[in-house]
Order: sequence, then C-alpha cells, then structure tokens
Amino acid sequence: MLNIENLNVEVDGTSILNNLNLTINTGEVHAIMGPNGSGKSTLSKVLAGHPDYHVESGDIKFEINLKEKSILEMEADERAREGIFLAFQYPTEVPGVSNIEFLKAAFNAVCEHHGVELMDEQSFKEFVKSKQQLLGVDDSFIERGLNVDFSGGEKKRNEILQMAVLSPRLAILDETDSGLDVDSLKVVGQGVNKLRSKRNSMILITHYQRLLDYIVPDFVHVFHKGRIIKSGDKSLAAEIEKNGFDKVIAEFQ
Amino acid sequence: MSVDKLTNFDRAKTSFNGVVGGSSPWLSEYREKSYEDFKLLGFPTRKQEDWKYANFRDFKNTDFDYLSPGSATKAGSGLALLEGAATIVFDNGSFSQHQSNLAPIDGLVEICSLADYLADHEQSGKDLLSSSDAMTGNPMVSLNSAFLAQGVYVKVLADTKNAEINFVYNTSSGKQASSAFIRNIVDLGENSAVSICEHFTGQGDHYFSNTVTSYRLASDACLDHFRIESESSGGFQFSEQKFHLSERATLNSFVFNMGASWSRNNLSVNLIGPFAEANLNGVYLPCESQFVDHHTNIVHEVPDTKSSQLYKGILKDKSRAVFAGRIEVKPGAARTSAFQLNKNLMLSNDAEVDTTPQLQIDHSDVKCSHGATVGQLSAEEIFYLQSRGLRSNAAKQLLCKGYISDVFKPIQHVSILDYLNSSLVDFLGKGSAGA
Repeated sequence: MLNIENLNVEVDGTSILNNLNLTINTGEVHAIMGPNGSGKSTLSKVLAGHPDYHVESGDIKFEINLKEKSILEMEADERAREGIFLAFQYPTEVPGVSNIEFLKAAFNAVCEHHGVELMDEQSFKEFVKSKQQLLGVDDSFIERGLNVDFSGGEKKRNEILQMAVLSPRLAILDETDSGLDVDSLKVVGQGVNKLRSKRNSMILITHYQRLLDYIVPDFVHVFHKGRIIKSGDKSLAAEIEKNGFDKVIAEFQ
Repeated sequence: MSVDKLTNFDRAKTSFNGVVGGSSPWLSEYREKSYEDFKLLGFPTRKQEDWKYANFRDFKNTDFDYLSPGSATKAGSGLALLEGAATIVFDNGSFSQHQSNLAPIDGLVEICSLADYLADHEQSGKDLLSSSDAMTGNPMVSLNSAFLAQGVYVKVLADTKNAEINFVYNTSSGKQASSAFIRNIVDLGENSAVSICEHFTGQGDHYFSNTVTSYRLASDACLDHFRIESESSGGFQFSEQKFHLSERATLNSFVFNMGASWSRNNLSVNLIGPFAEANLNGVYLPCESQFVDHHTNIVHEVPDTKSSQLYKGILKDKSRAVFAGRIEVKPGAARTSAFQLNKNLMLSNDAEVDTTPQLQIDHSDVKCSHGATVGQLSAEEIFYLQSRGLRSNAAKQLLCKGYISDVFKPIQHVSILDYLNSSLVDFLGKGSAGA
C-alpha cells in the first residue's frame, strides 16, 4: 500500500531523511522509534504533504484505485481524500470553527471525492456519536471550537476521533502518546486498536513502548539520522525500553 | 460670513431649493447656515486628522445633483432585513408611504415626518437639531443639515417590548451623479425594548447617500441596532449614528459593510446615565478598490457606565480600511469600564488598514483596555485543515468564517444572521480566498 523508495528530504538546507526505504502492506501496523531529531516527525509531515518539506530525491508511492502511484506531486488535501491521515503531535487550534462543523466539512470533502452520497445533519451526528463513544467524549466536546483550549489529552483524543470519522487507509500517528496520562493513554490506545483492520495500515511514531502495549505492532523500526538502522518485531520495542536507543545505535555503528 | 467658493454640491443645492419650499423661516435659515458651514469647512481633505486615511479619489471632483424622489429602480419593501417587522422605506432619499409598512408597530410607536415634527415642536426641534449636530466640524454632517427635509421622527412608547423596525435607504442614480440626504430622530421611551435595522442599499454608478440618525434612549430602554451597508459598487456613503443613553439603558450595536466603493461611518455614544451600557460590534469586508472607514466615539460622562467594542475586518485585493476608535472618560466618571478591540485579516498583500485607538481618560478609577491586530491566515492552520481533505480555498474560507464567528455570535435575529452569513459566503467566494 505504501512504498518509500530512497527518500531524501531537506528542510532549510539540512538533510533530514537519508535514503529511507520502507514498505507497508495493507493491514500492517509499523512502529517507528528513535531518539529526538532522528527524522520521525519529518517523515510524518512529508507523507502528509506539508508544503515546507521538500523531497530532494526518491519517491513515495501509495496505492490509489489498486494502482501504485507517486504522491509527491499531490497536495496535502488530495492525499487526505485518497486516505492518508496524519494524527498531529501538536494539533492546531482553530478558533471560531466548531469541532463538528470541521468534521462535517472534512467528511463531506472525502465523500464527494469518492462519489459517496452525503449524510444529512442528523445522520452525521449519529454517525459521529458512535465514534465519540470509542474515545469517551461527550456532545459538548464536539460543539467546542476546534482544539481551542483543549488539554493535551483532549487534543489527542480529538485527532483519533477525526481518524475514526474519516476512516483512512493509512494513518500516521505522530507521538500520539506524548502528553497523555495513564488513563487517557488507555482510552486512546484502545480506541486506535478498535480502528485497526485488515483493510487499513498504520504507522505509529513513538519514543516509548507504552503505546505499543495497547496497539501491538507487526513491525518495529529504529530510526537514526533519517534512516532505518534496525527492524524487528514487537520484541525490539521491549529491548529498546530496556537498554535505550544508544545500544542499538552503537551496534549499528 | 459668506464664502463664495463653489462646491461640488452647488447643483444639488439649487435643485433642492427648487423642490423644497414652504418651510418655516428658522428651518430655511438653519439649512443656509449649515451650507455656509460646509463651504467654510470645505470638502474633507486628508490634511484633517479626522479624515487622515480617507481616500477621496473621484468623489471630490464629482458634481452631484439632488435626487428626485421616487425613482429608485428596485422596490424598497423587499430589502427589509428584519423579517415581519415594520418597515420605513426611503426611496432615493424620500420617505415612501406606499412602500412602507407600519402596521406591525401600530399602537407601540408614534411616527411622523421630521418636517411635521419640527413644525409642531419648533423649540424642541431646534434643541434636537443643535444637539444632534454635537459632532461639530464635520463637513458631512453640515452637508446633511444643509439638505434637511427628509426623514422621520419616531417615538417608541414607554414599556413597549419587542418592537422591530426596518429603515431601508434605497438609492439609485442614472447617468448624472446624485445625492440623497436623510435625517432621522428616534426616541426610545422608558423601559422599552426595540430592534432597529438600518439597511443602506442602492443601484447605479454614481450616487452619494448621507444619513444621520439620532437615538435617545430613556432610562431602562434597550436597543438592538443594526447598520447594514450593502450599497452598489458605485455608491459613496456617509452615515452617522448618534446614541444618547440614560441610566440603565443598553445599546447593542452591530455594523456591517460590504458594498459601497467609499463608505464612512461615524458612530457616537454618549453614556449620560449611570449603569448605561453600550456593546458595539462590527464587521467590514472590503474587496477590489473599496474604501471603508469606521470612526467610533464613546463618551463616558457619568460613573458606572460600560462600553465594549469588537470590530473585525477581512480585506481582499487593493481594498483599504480605517478603524479609529475613540474612548473618552470624563472627569468624575468613576468605575467606567471600557474595552476596545480591532482585528484585521489581510487576504492580499495589496490591501491596507489603518487602525488607531484613541483614549482620553480624565478619571483614575477606571478599567480601560484596547488592542489592534493585523494579520494573515496561518499556514499551519491551512495545512491542518488540508490534511483532513479540505481544498486550500475551502480551508481558507472556513478559517475566515471562524475568524468572524465571535462577532456574529451575539446576534439573535435569525433573518439578519442568515443575511450576514450568506453575504460572508459571497465575499469569500469572490475571486480566490487569498494569499
């Protein structure tokens, strides 16, 4: 479903991703772990199509209508409508736009693109309500301004609520566990786990194993200086938790 | 003193004098005096502080005629924005009996033409006019007085609740540039609650509409006031609203600008009774080469009065906007609370805004704050919305709607809110949503 081939990315003249290669098949969950500054978040922004990140060389291919297609020339919104979703590490606050208004606008944009009939207001509210239960958020939550004055935990729940509503084929969760207390982590982790299916794939970007206790990955990759230096299964996450990144990096060097 | 200088309203004045006759001598004198004042003050120039940022372009050099009554091309009755309310229509500057509908306020409100009122109440009429000319030195108001003939006097009876009145100013001109002048006076009786919407609209290439309305709120009166400007792109517009608030009176004012090529709004509030309160909100949406200018003047004259102002603009293309908000706290006006905020969102690098707060505080025990911002849409916000599937233009439009939403929020009148929302959508849909 996703093929990253020899990807090189520069930001403000500094090379962040170096010859990165990664293949993700439909239904797989990949965890990307690594120390600060290793390029994990850059990867998430590049996949989502942030205009400030420039691909110098290499390619990103994504399966669209059963065909692998380069998405480098696609704007962020086109990629989103094709089913790529980024759960932000720091979700943006948008004053004056209510959560539900935004959900509806995004949902409609995706439906229109795929030629799916739009829901009326009442049906949409009920649809969202079923997703709210997944994340344990009430009606007042969706009437509030988009992320405005939300706590860190509420923002992260909101990202996953959006993911649940839009049901993307590829979800990239950028440090969704950061800033969450134990209870919120459990709710968010279990919520994401319920969205996992054979038809969609996920990339979990994290420093810690704790999120992976709830969402058990099929593969774990260690990032260092913009590339993958080691891959393994979930036991690699446990090893890192025990010995730290330094040991893996030392082995690599 | 007489001034022999010609003005670009001499043709209008000659036509006007031909149309209007049989007034009382003092009224004729008042008009002539006002015209002399206008000549003395001269057409405003940017050298005057009060007009520093105004852009007069072809306005100043246009030779205006006086609009003959009853020639507006569009029916005024359909332009009332408060649904189901009484409607007072001015057709090319003249009160139109047959387009107006006063039935909904029958028994709640007394209404007559300003001329009749002045004829019956000569002394109080004189007092009224001199007090409503309080913002002296404004040539536009002098000009309005020089053409004083059309307008209504409205008295809302004490304890009247939920009366609603539309004022529709519908102006249109042919090839010759024309002008229309209206002066209204509205008295709100004690403990009355009224909604009034003044809607300025028109068709045609070259016209100037100049309207002055004075409101006097007796104690405990409450006024929801809307001033909606949707003139045609050939319209020049000056309007002034003056509010005097007695004790415990409340004014909720909302102003909106969208159409005129040139518009200037003066809004003055005098808080003359304790616990009087004025809440002023405004939205302006200029595009292309439009010029929109808001001057507010809030005077806290006595203790325990409150005022708040929130004006927001979204500017496109080469448009220009001015917000000059003045707050004055008189000596002795203890425990005054005054708040002012003006925010501007620039969708184009060629647009320009001049925002100038002006505070004159002559008492120490007061709470006053003011602020002004000028900014652009945030790239991170646009990306966030795009990352959920919204096209760039749709993302920008949603952000603009969000930007304005807190100013629209207090509005309770559904028909007005619908009008404003659809106007905003029209504005955002014109051309691209911006940079």
